Amino acid sequence: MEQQRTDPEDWLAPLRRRGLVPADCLAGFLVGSAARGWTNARSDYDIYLVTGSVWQTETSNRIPMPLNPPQTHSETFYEQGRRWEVTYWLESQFDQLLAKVAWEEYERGFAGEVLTPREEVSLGRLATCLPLLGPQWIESARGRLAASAFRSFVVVRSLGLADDAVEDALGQLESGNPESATISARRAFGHAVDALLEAEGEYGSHMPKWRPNRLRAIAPPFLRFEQYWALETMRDYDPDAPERWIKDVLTICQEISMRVETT
Amino acid sequence: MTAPAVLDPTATPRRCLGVRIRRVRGELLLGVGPQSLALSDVAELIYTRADGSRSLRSIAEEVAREYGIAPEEALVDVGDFVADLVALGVVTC
Repeated sequence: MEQQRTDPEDWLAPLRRRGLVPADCLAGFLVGSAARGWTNARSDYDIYLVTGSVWQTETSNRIPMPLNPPQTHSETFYEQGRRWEVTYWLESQFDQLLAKVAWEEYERGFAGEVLTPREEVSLGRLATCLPLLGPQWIESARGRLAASAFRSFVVVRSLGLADDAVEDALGQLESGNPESATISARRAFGHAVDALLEAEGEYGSHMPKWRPNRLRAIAPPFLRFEQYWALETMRDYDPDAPERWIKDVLTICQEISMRVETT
Repeated sequence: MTAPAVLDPTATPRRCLGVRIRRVRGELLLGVGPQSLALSDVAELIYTRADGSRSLRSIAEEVAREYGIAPEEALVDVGDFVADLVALGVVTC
């Protein structure tokens, strides 16, 4: 049976035994489902280490990133049947990620996809990580993230995608294509809910599998979980009369747009 | 500019789907073509209540209560404003 890990050192011990924690490690944090308490028996464990110099070994994998240097590296291993992945970031790479979501960039009008999905997921994970090493570095980075335009970037992006999908759904309905309109309405709903979650600091829209968990975590009074789940699972969808469900969903998307605060 | 049409107080205005809406620093903005229309507090109250379930009279009564004005005066103002929104294509009636 797998050991219960309650202390940061319990998480770091498997890495230390394999020599995977460099001497110049500035910070380490558990990210992803394990950090949120959402794991299952098949989940991987993901740990980010922030280092002062590049980590590169014979066993490391290169992960391309539009940063300088243009990659991070990772090590994977198995412990008690569980896959662990350790990703090595340079401190300067986090600086670059945060610079991409500075307010000056936002106000320049590039409120679209300034980060790749992988960059966005990585930065968002900082907000909900479980610190293992270097708590001061993590606290400082979280403060910089909170003070940045990251939240505004992702909220505006998700609202824009929701609007586009609403437009598609209406056009498809008008042209007598309810099947595509149904798919578009589902897309619109997903993006609108993501915007609602992101506005509350629940990031991770590139991983829709966690949307129910994220919604439960913030429990918005406007959208009860039961209502959300009924729409997500299309409980009231009538294949013989899909227009009503589609318009109900688009109306919820509109109500979300009216509530989500942007800057 | 043509005068807005006089609306029936029993009409139930409904926000049109597909209108781009943003709440920016607390202010509600509607995308009307290439322009954005910023709603005042009372305009926002009227627009958000236009959900297809409330009559103009019912919305006007809420405005009258909220802003301490006579219901008949509110009905005229709400009717005029909703007629403007209909003309802009952001509400149907």
